[in-house]
This record gives sequence, C-alpha cells and structure tokens, in this order.
Amino acid sequence: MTNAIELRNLRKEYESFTLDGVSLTLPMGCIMGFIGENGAGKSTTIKAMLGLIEKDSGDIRLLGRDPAADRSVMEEVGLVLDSGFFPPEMNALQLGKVLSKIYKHWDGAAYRAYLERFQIESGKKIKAYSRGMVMKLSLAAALSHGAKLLLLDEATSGLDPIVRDDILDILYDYIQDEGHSVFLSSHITGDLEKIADYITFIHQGKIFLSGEKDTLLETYGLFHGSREQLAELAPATVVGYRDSDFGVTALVKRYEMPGDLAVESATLDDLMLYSIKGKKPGKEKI
Amino acid sequence: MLGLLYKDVYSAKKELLMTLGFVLVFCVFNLVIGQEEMLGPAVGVLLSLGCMVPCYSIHYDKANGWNKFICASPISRGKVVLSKYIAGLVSTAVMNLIVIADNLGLGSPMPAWSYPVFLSLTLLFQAVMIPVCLKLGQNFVVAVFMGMIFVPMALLFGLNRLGVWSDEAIRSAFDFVEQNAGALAPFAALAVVALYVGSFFLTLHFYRKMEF
Repeated sequence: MTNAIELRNLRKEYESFTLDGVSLTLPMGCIMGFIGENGAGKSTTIKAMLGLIEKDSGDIRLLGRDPAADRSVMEEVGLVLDSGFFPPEMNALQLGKVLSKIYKHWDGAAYRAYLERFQIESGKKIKAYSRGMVMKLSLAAALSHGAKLLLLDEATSGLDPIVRDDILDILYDYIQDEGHSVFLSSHITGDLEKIADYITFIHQGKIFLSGEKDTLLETYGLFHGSREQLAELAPATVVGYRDSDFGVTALVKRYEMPGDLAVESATLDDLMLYSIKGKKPGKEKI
Repeated sequence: MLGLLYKDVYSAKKELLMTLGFVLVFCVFNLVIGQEEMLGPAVGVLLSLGCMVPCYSIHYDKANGWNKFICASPISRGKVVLSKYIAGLVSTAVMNLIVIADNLGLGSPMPAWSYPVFLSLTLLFQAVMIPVCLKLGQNFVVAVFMGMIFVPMALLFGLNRLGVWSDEAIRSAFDFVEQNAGALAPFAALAVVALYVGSFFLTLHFYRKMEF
C-alpha cells in the first residue's frame, strides 16, 4: 500500500541550520503530528516536501510520487500554512473562482458548503478576516479540490481553544475516509495528543523520535524520585531529568525501569521538554 | 494560467480601476483643452503605467505570501512567470491603444510610425523591469525605470551642452531614424522581441531558484 508521505534521508543545509537525514513515513489514512521546538526544522521539512525549497539530497514521496518531478501530485495535496497566503484584497468567492482554475478537481459546491459550515463571510475581503477565519478559509480551500493528503504547518498556533477545537473536528471528519491522511506540524502538543496516530519529534534538524503516538506514550513515563535513585538507573533508561526542590523528575523508558519504582504517564509536552531541556545522566545540560 | 490572471485582476482591482480613472481623466482633459503639448506627458504617464503592471503583481505576490501557495500548487513555476509576461503584454496593449486614441483625438500630431516605437519602448522597459523586480524588489524597479529614462536624456543633453553632439547632429540622427524607419523597424522589433523572450527566461531562472 502506498504511504501518504515517505521521506528518506532528507537534507537541506543552511549557514546556521541543517536539516539532517530526516526520514519518516506516514501511512495512508493516518494523522501524523510533527512536533519540535521553534527552529527545530518543522517548517523546513514541510517546505522541502512542497517544493518551496530545494533539497540538497534525500528522497521525498507524497502519495507515492516525487513532487519535484511530478507536480500533478499537488492536485491531491491540500495545504494550510501558519501565515495566510491568499491575496488579502480578494474575498472568498473570488478566491474560489481563482482556485477553480488552478485545481482540476475543484468542487465549487463543496467549497461553498465549507464556507457556510465555517461561517465564513464570502463577500468580505480576506484582509478583514481574523486569523482563525483565514485558517478556516485555507482549510476550506484545501478540502475542496479532492486532496488525499493535508499538510498543515502550525495551523492551530495563535488560535483560541474554540477555533482550534473546530479545526481538529474538521480534521477528524476528514480522516474518517481511509484514503485521507493528515500531516500536522505544531508545538501545541495537546492538540496532537487528541487526534494524532503517529508522532514525529524533530530536534535541531534531526528526527529524535518517530512512531505511533500510543506506543511512544506507553514507552516513556515520568519518574519522581531522589538523586540517589536516579543514579542507580542505567543511563540508557533516562532520556533526561530535571532537578527540583524535592529531588528529581526524569523522563524514562518505562519498560527498562525496576518494577518497584513508580512511573507515571508522560505527555508529549514532557517528551519534548525533557528531551530538549533535561539533563542527561553523567552529562552536562544540553 | 487563467487562475493566475484572475488573481491578478481581483487582487489589483482597486488599483486597476484607479489607474483607468486616472488615465480617463488625463485623456479627457487632453481632448478638452486640445493642446498638442500635453500629448508628450500623457504618453509618458500611460507608458509608465503600462510598464508597471507586472511589477506591481510580482511585488504583491511577494508581499502577501502568494508565491508560497502557488509554488506548492500543481501550477509550474514556468506558468507563474508566463502569467506575469502575459499581464505585461495585456497592459502594454491597453496603454498603447489609449495612446493611439489620445493622439487621434488630438488630430494626430504624432506620426503613425511613433506607435510601434512606443510599443517597443514599453516592452523594452518591461523586459528590464520584470526580472529586476523579482530579484531585487520594487524599489530597485523605480530606480531602474528612472535610470532608463533619465540617463539617456542626461547623456543627450550633457553631450549637447558640451558641444560633443550638436543640435544639427541630434536632428539629423532623428531624421535618419524617421527616413529609414521602414528598414530599421524589423531589426528593432526583432531586438525587442529577443530581449523580451530573454527577459522571460532570465525571470524564470530567478524564480526557479527562489525559495519561499
């Protein structure tokens, strides 16, 4: 079965940053959350996938095709980026007319239905929309040309919880069709915990973790204890730890922990926080 | 392709209407006062506006993130660039037709051979300005445009003042062009077309290298 996204050893080098050997796979019919701190390489990865930047090396396949060689694959890729990209002087109806000439499978009726569902004033200029409205408009456009894969880059950041929840609902509806997939980059990990099937965590341009969300959350946990208890653990068991007034809190590999030590569930936020900011046993703080 | 042109029209609707209104007022004023001397400035304004349309569109796309979207769409970068040149040709045609109408309205003080000269000049300006706008931005375009108009004029007047190029020499140069317009026109037209096509490929080269 074709994967929605396949990246193999993707590399892009800048003066001050390198996306290094990024590999990931998103099976069809799933949602992947792409997390990482600001500047970790999330947007660079997405831009490389879309052909907005030229990769130095590596292999990119969207819906089984190389977007650099076969632009027609972009007919089936819907796009929502963190900043609006539609002409602010236009209104939603004019935009629909423009997009109908860009996408072969544009469905005007579906677009108008989405505008209605999202309560977007179609006669109002885009520049008068709130950020939430612009994101919803982008989603309406992305969902109206028969996209099988949605790529969203920080689409929910800066939005209030109500609008974010609306967007997650839309994505949830979209994914009910098994032929649809979503790749969603965000540093709002709570959103991803709600809807993602897979999580890929990028840090300093490299993939730090990638796998099924439930497996990751089952694999890692938080251990609260003393420094002495931490020192007795195998270094490979501890991903990172932080000191507190009452001892230490460590992100650990749950299945490598001694049975007598309690480990509580970790969140994706914990995974990010302890991996990036946590100290490593026997090492200086990263 | 049509979508890109629609987008240009919709997004610059206000500016296009303002430009057309401005042109209309200018032309009507010209016809009402009926002074031939006003034709020169009118032609200058009309051709400048004709030149600037694709640059405005390029600048708009850069400023509003449209490039990000369109380069992630099924539309090739070649078509995006081509649409700017088509918009340029359309605006050139419209402005040159208005120039002709204005001239005819005033009783044709300009000879008919000046029409292809103006057309060529507009295309020449565009051929330079479009890649400059894409690569260096709108401010550079204004500087380049001014330079293309004022540097030759300054040279002409400067050389004339210094006595290097006398009034007679200048007049005879113009006379030569006028008398040999028929023979020179195909070469000039060919040169302008070649420059325009070359400009397209240069812009395409820049655009393909651009990262968004």
